[in-house]
Amino acid sequence: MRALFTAATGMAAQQTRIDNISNNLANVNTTGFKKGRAEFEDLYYQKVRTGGAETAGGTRRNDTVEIGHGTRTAQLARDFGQGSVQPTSSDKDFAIQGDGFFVVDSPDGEQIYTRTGHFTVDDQGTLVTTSGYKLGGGIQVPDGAMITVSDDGVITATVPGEDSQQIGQIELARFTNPAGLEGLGAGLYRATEASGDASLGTPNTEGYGTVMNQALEMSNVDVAEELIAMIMAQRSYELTSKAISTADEMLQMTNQLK
Amino acid sequence: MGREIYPAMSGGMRALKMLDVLSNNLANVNTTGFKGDRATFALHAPNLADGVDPDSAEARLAEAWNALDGEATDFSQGSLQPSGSPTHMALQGEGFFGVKGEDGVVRLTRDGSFTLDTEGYLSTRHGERVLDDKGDAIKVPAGDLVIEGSGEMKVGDKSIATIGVLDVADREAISKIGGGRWELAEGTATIAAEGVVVRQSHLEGSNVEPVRALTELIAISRYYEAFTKSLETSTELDQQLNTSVGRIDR
Repeated sequence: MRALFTAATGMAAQQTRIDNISNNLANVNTTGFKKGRAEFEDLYYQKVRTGGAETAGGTRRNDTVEIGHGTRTAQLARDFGQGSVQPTSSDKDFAIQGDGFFVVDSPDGEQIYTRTGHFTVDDQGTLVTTSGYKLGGGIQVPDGAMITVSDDGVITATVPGEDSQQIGQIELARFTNPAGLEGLGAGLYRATEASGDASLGTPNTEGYGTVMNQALEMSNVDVAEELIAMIMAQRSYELTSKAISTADEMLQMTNQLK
Repeated sequence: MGREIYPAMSGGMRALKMLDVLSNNLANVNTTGFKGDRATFALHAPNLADGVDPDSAEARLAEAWNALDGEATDFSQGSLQPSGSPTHMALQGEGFFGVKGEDGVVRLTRDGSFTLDTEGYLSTRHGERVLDDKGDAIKVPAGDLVIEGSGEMKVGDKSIATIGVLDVADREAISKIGGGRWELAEGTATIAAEGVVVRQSHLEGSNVEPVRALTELIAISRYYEAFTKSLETSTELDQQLNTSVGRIDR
């Protein structure tokens, strides 16, 4: 009675799908959040008969009989599609329109990548993320200065009554396979072998996105889409459970045989 | 006991196998590029030893067995769903993507959820590279990727490759190996599929139809019930036989 286990893998898959949808919905208002999508693939097949077997008549069969064992989660892929950009009142909020990630340094010096452009100034006057990671190797913002950023990532600080000065340049990172990035939570990502190494570049050139300030990129979760996916997952779960109850009924009939 | 119970048992086994195959379809109702299967059966050809009379009871019993003969895959189109990724694609029409693993073996798939590998080649999540119409791997340079309906891939205005859409002359020669892939039987050649449209940023959903699957589920259950009934009837007949034969009515 393989059917029981096969159907159970289908139910497990729908559960994973619901888990993922819940995470997306919980992050519908998270700045820079990129939605996940659960992808499934069929499991290995048991070859009941392999092609090429000889028949009683001495001929060879060219077909193969195989029975599948259900499904499994192949990947929880992140969809790095653009989120909507909303204006804010903070001059230290940045948003990327297009491809690319901000490059920030973790306290132990590792390069980390993020789309969450909400920065503040720490006690040393350095531009940092909310978790204290330094942007662009540490950009010093003069006391009381207002900053602006050009499309190509040049940051200019203006202290009232003084000449404005250029204090840094934002570089963006791109990956051949962004879906391979490792999510660290809080909108931070680490490069992996699957994503490839980051290629750094100036915003607004060669396919790198543009940077704007006084704006933040919102979550790219589409609530309607998630709700429809949720209904579908729920119904699919129900459907697969029907296969289990049918298998159960059949076993019951067998046991009642006299 | 009469020998009619053996065909009934064989019918019951058949229902169980059908349920196994159907459960796999149901479990894969959300699997990208999945094609549903149906179990097919044939009367078991008795593999008689020399000297056995084909008209003997033994031979006739053997003939009454239903054996699992194969599974026919329904290759009909699944629905296309937008996915948002430029390297994802779906096929509309009859054919497959050709992918080649590190072992150099070409396999077929309908699951177009491709990404770029670390070297920039278009590949599956299993790391197999997707082949173009000449059978080569496709290296995708940086930039905006556009895939035309004909499968032609462009970055900017520059054409880089055309996605290969393959098929085989005899679908019996390919078998599923899991992970959305089919392997080719030894010595099977692929041919170029015609009239297939490639849709960028879309994925093909599973072609398992829930309503039909549910109906089949009910049918299998009834089918099984019928066979168990015939077993019961056979038992009853045996009981009658045992009680009435040999009794001498006075």
